[in-house]
Amino acid sequence: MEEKLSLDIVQIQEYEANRYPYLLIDKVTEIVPGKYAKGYKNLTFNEWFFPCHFEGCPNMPGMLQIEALSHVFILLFLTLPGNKGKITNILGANNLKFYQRVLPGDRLEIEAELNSWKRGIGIGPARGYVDGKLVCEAEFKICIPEILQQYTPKSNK
Amino acid sequence: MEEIKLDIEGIKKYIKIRYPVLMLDGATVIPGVSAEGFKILDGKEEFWKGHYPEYPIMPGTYQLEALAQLFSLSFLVLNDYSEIIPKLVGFEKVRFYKEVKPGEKNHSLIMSAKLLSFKHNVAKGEAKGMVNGEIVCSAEIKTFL
Repeated sequence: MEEKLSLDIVQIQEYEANRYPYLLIDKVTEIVPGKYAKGYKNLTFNEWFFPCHFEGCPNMPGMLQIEALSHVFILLFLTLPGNKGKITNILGANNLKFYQRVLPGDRLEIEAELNSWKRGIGIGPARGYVDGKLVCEAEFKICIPEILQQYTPKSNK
Repeated sequence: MEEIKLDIEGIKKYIKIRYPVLMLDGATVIPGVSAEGFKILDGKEEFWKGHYPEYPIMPGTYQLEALAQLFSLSFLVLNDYSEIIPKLVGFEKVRFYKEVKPGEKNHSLIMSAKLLSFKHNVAKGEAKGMVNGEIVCSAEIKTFL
């Protein structure tokens, strides 16, 4: 049985340890824990990063687009039983691509999938869209250090 | 080519990004070849408060941002590119090895970047970051002018 959830910003903060000013999603519209998730981030000119990136040419920093993707991605395994509110570390990422600028007034829609979840490490792709057009994508490898440490050999510590 | 030493004001001439997204405090650049730079980790910036509230570590994406900014210096100093805003095309082989925590005086993320090719306004290269002599992150970067 697949259980579909939708999370508002208060519920997102129950599952994620990220907080303002470093929480870059507004709502998760659809999520099946361990399978896939869809969410979005609304961008207004009032965002803290627009005045400095860049003066006279405001657009969302590519890094923060990737961060927004990862925030939806980590929810995929943080909603699994026992993982609520745990701290996550990013281990690596592949094929980070940026196709188009993301501007004030856009809605960054995000889709993420979890391909593998083993020993506290989650692997999978995530994509960002504006008006149905692909703007950025990445493949993540993110862990929950608390779970991963149980599998790490003690001599390596 | 000769080395160019840049302090924070010198960096601002070439990089149009401003506080709080500007992730460089000083750099030494060999135009068209490589760049070395640092970012002081004093734990005073806003992002430490949100990531995470009681366990501050530097977000991996900010480490990447710092690497990308240093990398862009290596070719922005070449010509009169100072008015142009570079656009990130992508990253490959992004790896994070250790948690980066805020620290005491002189604690900083020390980075080095290499420009491998610069053709048709597309720059490719690699960069890595170290803290206390230990590697913490590395990536291959591609930027378009």
